[in-house]
Amino acid sequence: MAKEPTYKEAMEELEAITHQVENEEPDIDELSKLVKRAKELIQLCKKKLKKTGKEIDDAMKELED
Amino acid sequence: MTHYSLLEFTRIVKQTIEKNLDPTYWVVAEIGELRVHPKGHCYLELVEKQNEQIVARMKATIWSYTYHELIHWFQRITGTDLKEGMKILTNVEVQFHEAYGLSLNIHDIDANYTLGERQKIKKEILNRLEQEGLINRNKELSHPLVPQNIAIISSSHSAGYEDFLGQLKSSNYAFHTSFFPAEMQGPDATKSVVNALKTIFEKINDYNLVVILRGGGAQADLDCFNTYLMGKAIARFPLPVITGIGHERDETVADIVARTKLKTPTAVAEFLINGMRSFEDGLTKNFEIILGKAQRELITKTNEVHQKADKIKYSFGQLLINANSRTVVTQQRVINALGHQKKHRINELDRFSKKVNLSMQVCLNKSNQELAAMEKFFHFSDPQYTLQRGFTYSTIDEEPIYKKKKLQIGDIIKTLTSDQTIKSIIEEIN
Repeated sequence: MAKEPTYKEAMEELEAITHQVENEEPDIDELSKLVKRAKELIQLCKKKLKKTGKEIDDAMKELED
Repeated sequence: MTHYSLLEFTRIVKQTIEKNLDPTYWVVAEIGELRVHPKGHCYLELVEKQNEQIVARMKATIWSYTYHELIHWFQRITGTDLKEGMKILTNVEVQFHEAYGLSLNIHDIDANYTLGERQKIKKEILNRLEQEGLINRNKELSHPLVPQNIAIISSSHSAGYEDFLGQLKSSNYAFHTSFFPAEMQGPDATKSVVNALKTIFEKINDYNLVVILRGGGAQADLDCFNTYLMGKAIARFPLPVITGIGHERDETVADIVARTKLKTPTAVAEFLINGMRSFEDGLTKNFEIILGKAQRELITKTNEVHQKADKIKYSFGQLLINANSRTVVTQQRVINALGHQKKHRINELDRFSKKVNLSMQVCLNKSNQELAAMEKFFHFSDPQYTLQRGFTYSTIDEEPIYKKKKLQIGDIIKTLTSDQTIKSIIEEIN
């Protein structure tokens, strides 16, 4: 299993996919594959953001105590 | 021409002398030689000198019975024996013996003449010393305050010297004596004493004074103390000289020129001990004065110290109080400042953390938005979404129709809908 990409790597891949979708006219199968990959990545990023948000909240709560 | 035998002739001489001379004469002469026979007779040679040359000389005899009586008186009056070099006035009878020749028979000697003669000589010596400015030279020296280091000139077998030492010792004062033996009588005595003085002079710094001692005893022969050389040596000596030469009669030249003349060695010892004692008394008195002063001073100073100590104690107390109150104030100030600082820091931290939080939230939001946009984009990019909205996707030989240049009748078209795949044949191309 491939290593889980970092947020930055995921974003870069997403940018690259966007660029490919917008400019390279992939055929429908390819497009389906790209979108699927993109959705995975977005899901990953969402998870990371949520985790980060919770971490920040926890940290702030700790500071306030 | 008549011939005489020697005896006949000497008899003529004898008769002539006896006939022509007085029975006795008073003659002044110097004793050239003198010896006393064991049987008690005294044989002399009388001389007269001019410029140290003998110009007259005669033999003389004092028969023992005369001598015995005569010498007793002579000594009593002059304080001295008959001796060579002495000038005498003597009553003589001229005798001529056929076998022994001419000689003088001494009947009497005028002791007073000799005494006068000796005093004349002494006076001459004193005059000379005075003319030379020496006579008071030693007298002008002051006695040492502490007569501790004493050079003693005496004869080694002298009883006076022993007594003297014993007396100093029993005084319990720390006298340091050095002994310089010398002959104290006889023809060499002057030279011997002068030599002793010379020896002392070589170590003059070791001594405070010189003592010349001569034990008493038998009738004294003081001639050596009546010489010019002795007088000069004592007078010129740079340390005070004390004489204790033990005699009852006139003082000698040595006594006259010495710093201090005392009669006996015992008297000298007494004098030195008194010197020490008066110095000690002075010391004791001064010590008592100093002690008294010191005690008074001590009391004064002690009081001063106590006063100062009290003052210092008080000042320290004040200082301590001041310091304490200052400390309290300072402490409060520090606490306040610290509290203030803390509050300030906490606020600062608070602000900062809020700021951080805010920027993090902003960052997070931005990311969320970005992601949402992307999500939207890919939602719409999904071919499924387009197909579900009723659009279809057609290909010929796996190539999209819109890319195909040449379409021919009879080509098979594969069409994709959202849920179906349709195959159809081209019948017409417009």
